[in-house]
Order: sequence, then structure tokens, then C-alpha cells
Amino acid sequence: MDLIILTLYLGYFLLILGTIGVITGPKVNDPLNRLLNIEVPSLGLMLIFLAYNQTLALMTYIAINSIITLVFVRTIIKNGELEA
Amino acid sequence: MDIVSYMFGKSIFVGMIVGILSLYAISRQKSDLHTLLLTDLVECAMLVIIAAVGTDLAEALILPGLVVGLAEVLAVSEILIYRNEVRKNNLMSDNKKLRLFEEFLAKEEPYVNTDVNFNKMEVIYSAPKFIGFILVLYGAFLTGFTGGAVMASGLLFYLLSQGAIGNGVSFNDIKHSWEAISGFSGIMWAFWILLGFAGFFLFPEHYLFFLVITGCALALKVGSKLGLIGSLRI
Repeated sequence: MDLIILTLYLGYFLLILGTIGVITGPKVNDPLNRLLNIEVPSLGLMLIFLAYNQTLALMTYIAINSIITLVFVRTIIKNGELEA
Repeated sequence: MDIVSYMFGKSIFVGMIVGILSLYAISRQKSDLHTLLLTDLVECAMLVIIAAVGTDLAEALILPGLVVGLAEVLAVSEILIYRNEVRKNNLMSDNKKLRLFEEFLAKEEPYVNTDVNFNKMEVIYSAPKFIGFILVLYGAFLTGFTGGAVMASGLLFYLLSQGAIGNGVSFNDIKHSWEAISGFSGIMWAFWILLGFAGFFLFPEHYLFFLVITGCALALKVGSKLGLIGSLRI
């Protein structure tokens, strides 16, 4: 099997496993745990971009992903403050 | 048989599985915050399905999708917080102003036991400028959507660090710079669409010139738009 095909299959694996982990993982009732679990499918998505040779999409996704994490952490902290 | 057409069906299948699973989870979810987090997963499924096409056009479609997704998440989270705040204020009638990215700013100087004066450390003042400058330069070199995003992260980092150091900027300054940056972004949008694209179709023999104009204007537009987030914090 080709290296590219292997990368693609690894991406599929991480994507599906990560999705199941996000939905029914351990202790996902805490929003922060759920946010950390989301990193696994996004890594799978990055591997798929890599296998399809989409450089620009990969670089933009990495940049956007970090900003989105910032926004989500802010929302979680603020929500926790308001609910407490 | 090349890889794109060989793997097309499998990629679509995986994207569908992820999309259906996450949409089912959203339908079972009670909390709004969890729904917002799961929306990010649906975006992953969408991107896989677009990426499965594997052409340059598909790649070009992914980029605006990512930027729009970011704006969407920002807006929806803001609305969520605002609604919770209004609900709490109705219960307790406690008026407290909220600012964007307030959590990442130092509210008060931490108490330190030793006599080290942290305000005297030169690296705190010079390093953010340098890193921001490098990021903006690199973004200008990349051009396009990616360059704009890199440039914006440089601006964002610089402004957030200025807020953390505690360099006071007056309210009028913020208002003026806000107006200036948004006006600049609008002008760059006009450059991108009107001059760049229209010239591209009207004078195809000078295509390189208009391509450079479009790329640079797009980079400056995205950079200034996302940089606005940074100037909200003060």
C-alpha cells in the first residue's frame, strides 16, 4: 500500500474515532473535555488535507483552528462564570 | 487510476458518517454550549466532503468556508454569552460590563514575594513588537486568505500583549483606530473586487498585474478585519 493511501486511512480512522469520542467519550459532560476531544477529529481532517495535497487549506485550517480554540475557551469560561 | 478518483467514494462515506453521527448528537443535546461545540464537528464533515473532490477549485472553496465558520462561531458564542448575561441580570439585577477576551488579560498585578520589578524587564516590551512585526511581514509575503490570517494573528497578538502589559490607550484612540481600520478594510475590498477581478476579465493580457493586486488587497482586507478583534479588548 502507498504512503498516501495509508495517510488517508489514518485520517479516516482518527476522524471517525474522534467523532465517537466527542459524542460518547468519558466525562464529556464537562465542556472543556469535549473541546479537547474535538482536537482528535480535526487532526484527522488535517491528515486528509495532507493526503489530498491541499497545502493552502491545511495551513489556513491550522491557523483558524487555533483562533477557534481561543473563542471556545472564552465562551466556556464566561458561561461557567455566569452559571456559577 | 489516480488516488482522487480511487478514494472519492470512501471519503464521501466517511464524511457522511461523521456528519450523521454529529447531527444525531446535536439533536439529543440539551445544553446550548455543547451544541455549539458539536457544530465544529459538522464543519469537519463538510470539509472532508469538499476535500474529496481534490481539485484546485475545491481547495479554493475550503478557504472562505473556514473564515466564514470562524466568524460564525465568534458571533454565535457572543450571542450565547449575552443571552446568559441578560438572564442572570434579570435574576439578580447586577450590572457588569463585559469585554471581549477579558479572560486573557491581566486584571491586577500578581503579588510577587521577591524584589524583582517585572515592569523593568525589557523583553516584555520588545518581544511582542518583534513577533507581531515578523508575523505581519510573513503574512504580507504569503498574500491571499492565508496571508491575511497570519497577518491578523500578528496584529491580534500585538494588541493583546499591549493590553496585558497595561499600556493605557484612551477611548478616543480606540474609536479612531476602529473607524480607520474598518474604512481601510472596505477600501481594500473595493480593490479586490472592482479593480482586481474586473480588470482580470476586461484586460486578460495583463493578468499578472491584476492577480498581484487581487492577492495583496485580499491579504490586507482579511488581515485588517480579523485585526479588529484585537482592538476590541482595551
